[in-house]
Amino acid sequence: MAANAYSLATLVMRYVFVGIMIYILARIIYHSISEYQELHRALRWLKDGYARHIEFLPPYDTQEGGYVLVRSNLIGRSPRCDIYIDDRSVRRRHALLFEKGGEGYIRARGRAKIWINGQRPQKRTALLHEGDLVRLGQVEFHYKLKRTPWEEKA
Amino acid sequence: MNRVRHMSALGLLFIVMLFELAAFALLSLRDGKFDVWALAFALALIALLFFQYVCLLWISRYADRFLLVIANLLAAIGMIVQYRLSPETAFRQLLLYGVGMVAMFVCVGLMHKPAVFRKLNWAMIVASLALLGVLLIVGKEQGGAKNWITIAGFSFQPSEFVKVALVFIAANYLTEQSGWRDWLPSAIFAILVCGLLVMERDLGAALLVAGTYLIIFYTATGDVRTTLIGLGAGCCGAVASYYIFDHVRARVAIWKNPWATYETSGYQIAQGLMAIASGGAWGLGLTQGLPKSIPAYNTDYIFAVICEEFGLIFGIAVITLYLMFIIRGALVALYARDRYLMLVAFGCTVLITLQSFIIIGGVIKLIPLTGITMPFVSHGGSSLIASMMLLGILEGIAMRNGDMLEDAMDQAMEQDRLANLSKGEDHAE
Repeated sequence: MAANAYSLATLVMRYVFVGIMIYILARIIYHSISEYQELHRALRWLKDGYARHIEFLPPYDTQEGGYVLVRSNLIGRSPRCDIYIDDRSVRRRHALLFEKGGEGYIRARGRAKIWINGQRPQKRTALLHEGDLVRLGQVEFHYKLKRTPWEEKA
Repeated sequence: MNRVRHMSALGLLFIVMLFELAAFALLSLRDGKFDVWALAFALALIALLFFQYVCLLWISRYADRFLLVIANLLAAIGMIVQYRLSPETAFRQLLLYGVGMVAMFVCVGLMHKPAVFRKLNWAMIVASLALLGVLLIVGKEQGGAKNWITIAGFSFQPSEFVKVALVFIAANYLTEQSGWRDWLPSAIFAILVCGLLVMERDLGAALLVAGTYLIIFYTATGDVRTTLIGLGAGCCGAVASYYIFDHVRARVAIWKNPWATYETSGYQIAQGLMAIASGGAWGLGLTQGLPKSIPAYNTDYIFAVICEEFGLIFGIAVITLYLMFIIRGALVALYARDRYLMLVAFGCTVLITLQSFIIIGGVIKLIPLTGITMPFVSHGGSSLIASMMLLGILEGIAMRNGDMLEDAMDQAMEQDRLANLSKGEDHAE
């Protein structure tokens, strides 16, 4: 009886093993592709000076050249966020900046409020344009597409 | 800060651990009574893998997480099968995995100063040839090949370490691109090593060394004609060895028809094929097969055991894991800023994957079977430690790539800032 139950368990478990294996493979392939894209973007940024990035207004303009965005970036007061702002007016997980189909979007999380160019967006997710001024609480930043190449500036 | 964010693979590692835990839970109930040692083994393995991941990321956040997870998963599958076959060898394998981990971290550290390897080039050549030469005289024969040396109670297989040295030596000579005089010493070295390995009857290692050298040569020079000549020479060597050596002829005869000599020499391949066939697509279930009927079940033929108990789909997934290893390794090589490191990274990747394909091809009767281990999976100290060293070298190069990219981006930002400053001054005037 126990032996039967055990062999049944092994028969069931083989599907579990195959399932786990295929899941791991799929995850590795998916992550490899997205990591490759991000690396590619970083290299293109170095070469052509093209990158989606945000530039904070004072007093949070501590990082030179702003923050270069990756595919999805969480902004908030929690140190676990990708972009972390230590300001009481910002929620712990305030907003998500992400890319979809080549366009940049911002989405407020939970009950967090955002303003784009001084107005509350109609929907929770809003499309961002070059030079938009986004405000979270008391913190403001510009959304920029192009990092001007050095030659042009000089 | 956050310029190139690398994906976290910790979630993936937890799934690998879950896989282990499930398999060992099944193994612990094997004989109708609860085996505490199986669970202890699983927990020790989990602790080891977690420690390895955390330590590697502590060294640098640019370590390639997926290479590590792939290696971990392969090692975990290996240890599950080892434990199912015999718990004693599995505990030995776990110990050796710990030693391999130390070797891996040493290699990661050494890759911070790759120039050391270029200086040690002659030492490596002499040591490799000396090890293989000594092997001809004092080597112990085991499983048909004379490729074991015993020193102070520990036996090891020098060919495993010679092939790691080959990657460095080949990369060293192929880094310069001015003409054939540059790469000739490395070609002579590769031919010598191949010859010595064939004389020791270690055909798998000879094939591996020849294949790896040709692939590194082609990637380095892009010279189709010379590569084809090399390939032709390799084929001629293979044909010559077919006529000169009895054991090569025997291997080919078995490969052509294992069933003719089922009772004697064809037994291993025939048993392996039957094991794979009896597993079917989904396998017989862990502990339900009869893997011990295959000779060399825990080293060369471990792939047949995996296919029998876990099924063909799982076997294909294992092959895909090795394919992913190529892709990740090739990416590390592609982004290396230094030609020498690029060749080393690519050589390590080729070595591991070619080795796995030679043995898997042998097991499924695609090519003549040559005794060689399956990297990370098979039982065998030298093989496991050498594979972990290769992994460590790849990780070290990945870390260097990441640091270099970060430096380049910092520099670009600094230049931006200076440009902005000078622009500001212009406006002020």
